[in-house]
Amino acid sequence: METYQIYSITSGVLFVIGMGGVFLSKHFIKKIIATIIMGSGVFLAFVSFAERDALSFADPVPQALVITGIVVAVASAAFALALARRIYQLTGEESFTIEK
Amino acid sequence: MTGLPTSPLPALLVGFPILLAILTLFFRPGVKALVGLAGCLLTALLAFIAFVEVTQRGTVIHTPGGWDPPLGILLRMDALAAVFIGMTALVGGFISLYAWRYLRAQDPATGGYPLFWPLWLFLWAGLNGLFLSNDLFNLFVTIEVISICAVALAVLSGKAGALKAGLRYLLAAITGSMAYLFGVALLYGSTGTLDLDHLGQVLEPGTTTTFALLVVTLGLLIKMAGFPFHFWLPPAHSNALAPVSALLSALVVKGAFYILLRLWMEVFGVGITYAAGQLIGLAGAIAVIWGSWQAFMQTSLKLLVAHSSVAQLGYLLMIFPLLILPPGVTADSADWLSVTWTGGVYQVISHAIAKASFFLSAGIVIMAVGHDRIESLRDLVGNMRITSMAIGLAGVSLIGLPPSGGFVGKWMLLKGILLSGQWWWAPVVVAGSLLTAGYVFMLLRLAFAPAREKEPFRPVPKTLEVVALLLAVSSFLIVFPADYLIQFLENSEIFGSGIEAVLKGGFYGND
Amino acid sequence: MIWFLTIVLPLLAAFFAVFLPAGRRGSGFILAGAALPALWLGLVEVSGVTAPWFLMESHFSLDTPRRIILLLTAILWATAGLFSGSYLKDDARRGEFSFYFGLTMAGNFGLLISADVASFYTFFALMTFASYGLVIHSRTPSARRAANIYLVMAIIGELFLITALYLAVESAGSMLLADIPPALAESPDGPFIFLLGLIGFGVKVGAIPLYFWLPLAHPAAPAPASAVLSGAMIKAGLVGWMHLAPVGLVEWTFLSLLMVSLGFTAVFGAAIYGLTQVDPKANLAYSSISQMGVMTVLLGIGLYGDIPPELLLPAIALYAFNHGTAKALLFMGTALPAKVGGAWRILMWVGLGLGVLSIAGGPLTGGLWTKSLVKTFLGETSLPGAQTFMLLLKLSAVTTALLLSRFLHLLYRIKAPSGNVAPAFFLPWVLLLLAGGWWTMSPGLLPGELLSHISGAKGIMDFFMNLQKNWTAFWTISIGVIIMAFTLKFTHLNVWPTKKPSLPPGDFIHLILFAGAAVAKPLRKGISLLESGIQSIPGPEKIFYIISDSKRTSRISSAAEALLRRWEFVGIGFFIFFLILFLVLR
Repeated sequence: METYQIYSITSGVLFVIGMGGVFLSKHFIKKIIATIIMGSGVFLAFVSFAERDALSFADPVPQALVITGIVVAVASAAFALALARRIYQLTGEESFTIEK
Repeated sequence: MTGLPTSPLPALLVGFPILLAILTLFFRPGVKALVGLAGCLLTALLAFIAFVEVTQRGTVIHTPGGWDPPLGILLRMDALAAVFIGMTALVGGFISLYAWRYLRAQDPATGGYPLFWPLWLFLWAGLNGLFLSNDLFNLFVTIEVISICAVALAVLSGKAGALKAGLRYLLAAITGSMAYLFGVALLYGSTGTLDLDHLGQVLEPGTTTTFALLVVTLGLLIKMAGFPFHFWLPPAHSNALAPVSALLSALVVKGAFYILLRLWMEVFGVGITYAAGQLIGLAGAIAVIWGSWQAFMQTSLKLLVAHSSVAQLGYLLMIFPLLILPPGVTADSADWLSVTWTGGVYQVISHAIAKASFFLSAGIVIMAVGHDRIESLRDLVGNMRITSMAIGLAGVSLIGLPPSGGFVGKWMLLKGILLSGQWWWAPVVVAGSLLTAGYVFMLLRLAFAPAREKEPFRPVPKTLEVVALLLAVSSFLIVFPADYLIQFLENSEIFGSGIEAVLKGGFYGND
Repeated sequence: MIWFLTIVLPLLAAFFAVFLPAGRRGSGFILAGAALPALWLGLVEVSGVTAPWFLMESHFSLDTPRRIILLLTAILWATAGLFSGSYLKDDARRGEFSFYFGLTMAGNFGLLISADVASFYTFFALMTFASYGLVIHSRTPSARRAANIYLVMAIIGELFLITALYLAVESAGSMLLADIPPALAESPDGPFIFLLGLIGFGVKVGAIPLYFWLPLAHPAAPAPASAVLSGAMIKAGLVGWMHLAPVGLVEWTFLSLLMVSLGFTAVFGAAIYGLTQVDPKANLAYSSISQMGVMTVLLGIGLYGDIPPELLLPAIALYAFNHGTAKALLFMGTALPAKVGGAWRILMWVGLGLGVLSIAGGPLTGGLWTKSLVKTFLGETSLPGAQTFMLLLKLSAVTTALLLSRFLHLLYRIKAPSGNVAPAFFLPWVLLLLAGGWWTMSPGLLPGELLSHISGAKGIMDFFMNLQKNWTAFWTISIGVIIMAFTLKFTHLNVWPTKKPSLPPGDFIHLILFAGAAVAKPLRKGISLLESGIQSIPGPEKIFYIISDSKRTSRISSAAEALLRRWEFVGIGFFIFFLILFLVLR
């Protein structure tokens, strides 16, 4: 098994774990962490594809993409955390209830 | 690079709103609104200029900094993008006018939610960027800009309900975009390119392509609230401020639809199957019935309108099965493709206009009576003629009665369905229209009914009512250029490689 | 240009009239003026136009029958508009009335001048739904009830006719209305499509058994609106039928007999039931159903054998013209007796009398002329039982006369004001009287062939000089009038229902009725049962509301939606969707 295959499979596993966490965990913070895990999986996949058969050197494009992606992911996660905190301040709730 | 005429307009369409958004941040709240409004109107004007440019010169492109793909970014404005940008400008312009007056009236203390303006301009830049982008990663960035701005706008009121709905929306959006990005990674890994045109040529069928298609489709379905992933839409749209609800329902969800349409038609030509199209269509059909039924059962006005959005988005999904040819049929003999295609685009436009007007009118009613139970519509006709007329007209357009834009869209969709022989979609279209008629006429019946209490309506600024009515009237006026618009969509020279292939015969079918 | 003005002016009028404050008179002239382009099109032949930028390429043109009906429609809308200007001068909701009036007018004109399916249906729907505002105008409980029933029936009708039109367009392969009848004649589905159209437009026409909204809705509207509802808009359904019917091209025995028998059922059933009414407008509404029955019969015989359509359709249009003007005259006339006094009452009674005579086909009226058109075609049909039809038609003159003399009696009971007074809306009424009386008989309206077909080479004046024909007309109507006079004179005046319908005791007509009492009473009961039954049996719409209003349904559906909102279930949905999509992509 080659390195990049291990990376790819790991990235898939991370993605699925993250996705399961988003849907199944209850607490806001857990959900937000789960999205970050999903993001890590995706970025790992990008990085693993940087090594390609046709190229003798690592493809720089995925690196650039991953950096942009991380910025976006961090921004979203920060925003989500801010929302979760504000909700807790206002109502004391820490997970989704059935709402209208 | 492709020999297409270049024009600075695509870059301006993205850069100008961003510049203005940053500019507005430096002003006092009161002035912020004015600058923001002026910026919105200028952006709308710019979009119209760009639209005219495309009608005259055909597709135009712009490469910022002169860097050609794959190193640089290519912004391409073809007929489809021009139509979507024009629609955004029309609806967005009206909503900006409304928001200016509405926000001031809602919250005079702080100068009317001053953060609305930079966020909305960023959102607009994101939408324009999305329609102009021609590579997968650019699409990801723009749709993330849109999502974050949209959530921020949705929680603008700061109320607990809106915050919870906003967090739900944000988590769903992040999940959707991560799934999409995972698909992008797979596609890049297998082909080494992100450019849509190039990707469409080099993509080969295989497990990787299938998985990429799967996660991309599902991610975008979550983002456009296709059934059964509409769980975030009704709370988010109904808890936001009225102009924001209108923006979210009319424009933001169309962004994800636009990507999905482009990818399925231009990129995944080799991967998709007839049955997959049927599945997407089925999801759309269920959304139409379920959303309309839920809308019918609601007792609060904004939730009703939000559920109606779920249903109307279902119609958009129903064009997918029609655009994929069954095995053994060549694109030349499939005369329903262009009808379905333009019908779908027409449905997007007419829904955007009608739904914006509907949400704006709902905002007016809520402002006038102080709550949003649909009972509050009682005797609306006697007290607020303009708004009741707007609700009536927008409702008629949603039902799809002639001579509204909704009628043209649904008629063409129905025509496509019957021409293609996939008759099983036809009852869904009819049943959806009937259910829509059910809730719209329920509202209108209440509007004609006598009031239970005396003087239930507080006066509201006339500007708001007029803007809502103008939008509702526009949903009828778009019938007039129907023929022209259809020709523009069908005959534009370069039409997105895949769509052109679909229309001219290539790609799909058994070759 | 004139084609567009025909539609745009009423729309503009609708929007401008809204802003005229109640108490000012201008709106009448605005509304009447908006009908002028249509009047022009009705009088002068103008070549058709195509508007590629509207809907799916709209065509506007007219043929002879539609031109006749457009003329009728324009006259009615113009006079009703003038009438409404002063009749509703002080009505608080006058602006609203003018708005819906203008929209309905635009729809009515538009559908008459459209030559393609898309614009025809568009304007038809505009007319149907805008007239809801006219019916509900007074906001009384009965008007609300009428408007609700009207709306439900209208939606059902629209559904049928859009299906019919859609299928017709599919089988014709063309959006042009003119291409539809030949295509239906050849298509194997032709009879079915026509039947759908028969039902869809039948709602508007008030055909048996879809008529029951009509006697509720037409009286509920204000007098000028009832006049156009019963005089002009009811004909829109007829025009729809004429667009679909492949006259002279087919031998659809079943449909033909169906239309003829339903038509005659309407002719007699509605007339008899109308006798029991005490509201003069309800009485007139039943008379409308009865008269539309005659036109149904006439179109019905066109579906069998080679009756030339270029003769039959103008004949139907002429019959509609006569009925439309006279009926509008009578409907607007219901507003007069309480307001007109002194010498003016003579003119009023002369006008009302002429209107009644004209509908019943009295001597020297347009009614006699158009009725003889019907007879001519009934004489030519090869349909089995044509002799019976002829007899029935003659008999119908008696029932019509009976019904309408009852109407006059109902008006007669209204107390007259003292002094020599006439309200301002008396003038448009007189105008309508003149227009209706003259135009029906004018040979200018007729295609030359039709004229010579009916009256031979001798011309139309010869027809009216024919003593025997006039005499026949005279005595058939006299029978009706005499019966009515007898029952009024020789029994106590309270034998005729005054508050609510009941059968009179006594006298000559009573003898007949007594003989038939065993039949008549259950029959009447049956009819009224049917009447109330149809309203109380839950229609599809009601059933839908019953389901949707039940607590159980709302609980289940909100619970299901709540389930779909839960993250776990979205996750499961995601997983299932993923699996299925994966399978279908393989």
